[in-house]
Amino acid sequence: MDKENMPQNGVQKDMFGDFANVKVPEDKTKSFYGMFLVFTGVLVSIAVLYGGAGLGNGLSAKDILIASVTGSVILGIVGALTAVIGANTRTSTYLLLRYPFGRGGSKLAGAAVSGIGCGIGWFFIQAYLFGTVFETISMEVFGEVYWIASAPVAAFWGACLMSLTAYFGYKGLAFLSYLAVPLFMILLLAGTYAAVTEAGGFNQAVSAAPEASITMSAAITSVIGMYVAGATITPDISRYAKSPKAGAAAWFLQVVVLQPVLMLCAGLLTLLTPMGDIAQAMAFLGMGLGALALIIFGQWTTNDNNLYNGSLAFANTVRISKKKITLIMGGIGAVLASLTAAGVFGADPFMEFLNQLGRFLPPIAGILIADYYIFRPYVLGIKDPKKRYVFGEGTEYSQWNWVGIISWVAGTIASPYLPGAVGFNSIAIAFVVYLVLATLAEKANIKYEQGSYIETSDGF
Amino acid sequence: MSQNNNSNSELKDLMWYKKYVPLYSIILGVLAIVVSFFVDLPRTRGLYIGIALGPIVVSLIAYLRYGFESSNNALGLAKVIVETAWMPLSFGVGYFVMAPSTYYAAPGGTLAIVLIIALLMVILGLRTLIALSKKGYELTP
Repeated sequence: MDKENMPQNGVQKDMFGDFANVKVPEDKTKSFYGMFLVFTGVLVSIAVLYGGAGLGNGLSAKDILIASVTGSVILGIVGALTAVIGANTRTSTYLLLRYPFGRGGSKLAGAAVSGIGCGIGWFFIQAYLFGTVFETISMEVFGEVYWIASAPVAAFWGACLMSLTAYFGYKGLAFLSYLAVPLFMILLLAGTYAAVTEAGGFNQAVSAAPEASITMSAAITSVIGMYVAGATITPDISRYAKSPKAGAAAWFLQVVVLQPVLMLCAGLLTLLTPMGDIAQAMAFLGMGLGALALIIFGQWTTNDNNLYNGSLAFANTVRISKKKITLIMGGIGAVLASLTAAGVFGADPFMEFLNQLGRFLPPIAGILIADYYIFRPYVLGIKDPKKRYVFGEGTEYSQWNWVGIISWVAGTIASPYLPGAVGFNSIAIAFVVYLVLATLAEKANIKYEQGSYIETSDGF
Repeated sequence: MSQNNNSNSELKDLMWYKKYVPLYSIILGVLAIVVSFFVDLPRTRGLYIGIALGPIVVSLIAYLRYGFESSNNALGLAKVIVETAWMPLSFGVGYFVMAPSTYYAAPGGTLAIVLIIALLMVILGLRTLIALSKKGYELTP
């Protein structure tokens, strides 16, 4: 380590960039408003481009609102609890996992689920989808597809754009969100107004019935499932919060207040037009440029987060700077997205694999919540929230925390066998199993942690 | 952020932006609303007014926020200015994307005036952000 990067006054120097493996310093924390925009940047694509449009294909306006509010409140609570942990410790999800999973467990869980799942898998799939939708809308708007708008080329430059903001870390995500989120709201509201007006007014829109129908429980399950991964990894963003309250409030408000509104708008657009997704619906209503902007900014603000989360996870696993990891993963994603769009291989097998892999993510929230809010303060007696997880040079972790690993696997495997939302089930099962096993092991003096790892001066 | 953030020279530098960024945002927003009354189509008028209200409301809030900031806190002042400057930039782009659409179409002359107002909004936002960035202030506070 060179002299410049030596720890000074007890503060670790950021060797990996974007404070990937160290605490975010006090003077680098961000305002509630900035955090709210970054969280919303992720939400807009998930709630609008996928979720709301899907609900609009099977529910009336009133039912869309009920399903989205119910699902959003559950997501709001889970995400607020994990956001507080991130804001108190000022570290990412993957660093937090060093306690309930052990150092080796945090590498495994972080790299497998967030690194490979979000950073490579979903990043390239979303870039591929961006390319194909961009080509379709370009055809509708311009009447022909220029080479730059063809799916393989659009998928490639789309992935490069998304990598660009992820490369600059939180600052890059925030920069884009400050510009894109208000713009996105204009596009969506203008599109929804057009759809409602064309359908004959708000009363007509409210009474409109979809051709197909889905049950309320399936709709709520879908709302939770869509964003439960986001609720799990809120510490990746909330570590920058000025206070735990600010981080939790930013998450809670954008999910509970904004998500139902966004879903309702997107649902109305698809419900009131003969189109299956909102970009096509907007193009159908004569807002082609708006549809293109919606796809570009919606996918960009969401997919750069995928890469950001993935690179944070890998920075906890391999000793490479976060920027280099972002470039490598972004490059792989751009090539895979382009090849998939060109038809070299299909996206379906990858999506099936990623959906299965994605089931491993939500239980992590249950384990973190159980460990941080109950096990550490009430069983281990660590009452001070700031001391429940400590990090820094010389900190000793176990290599493997078997209670955490078992709870993680149990939550993932058992969740589909219970009624209700699979994502929420997995959180609840992991929460209960972790709490019971960890408490029993602690009381009975059973050794559940194995090996030892000492944190180095660069936070690795 | 600059280290010596409370110095008088820094505060003096920010005064122009403190005074004129919200003021110009409001003027441009009001101009867009005035132009909207020359449009026959109610939905187009609604779009112009709806977008114009964004920068106007945020600028009015900025004036309120100035009252809460200590008079010698350059960092706090810069934060309010930066957050305000993003709005005309984003909403100006909104005009460029939505105003020319078939659904919200307006006669050529009116559309041209609105797009000029939008361009001025974008320039106001960009100029402010670039200037404050050069002074060392955070653009994503």
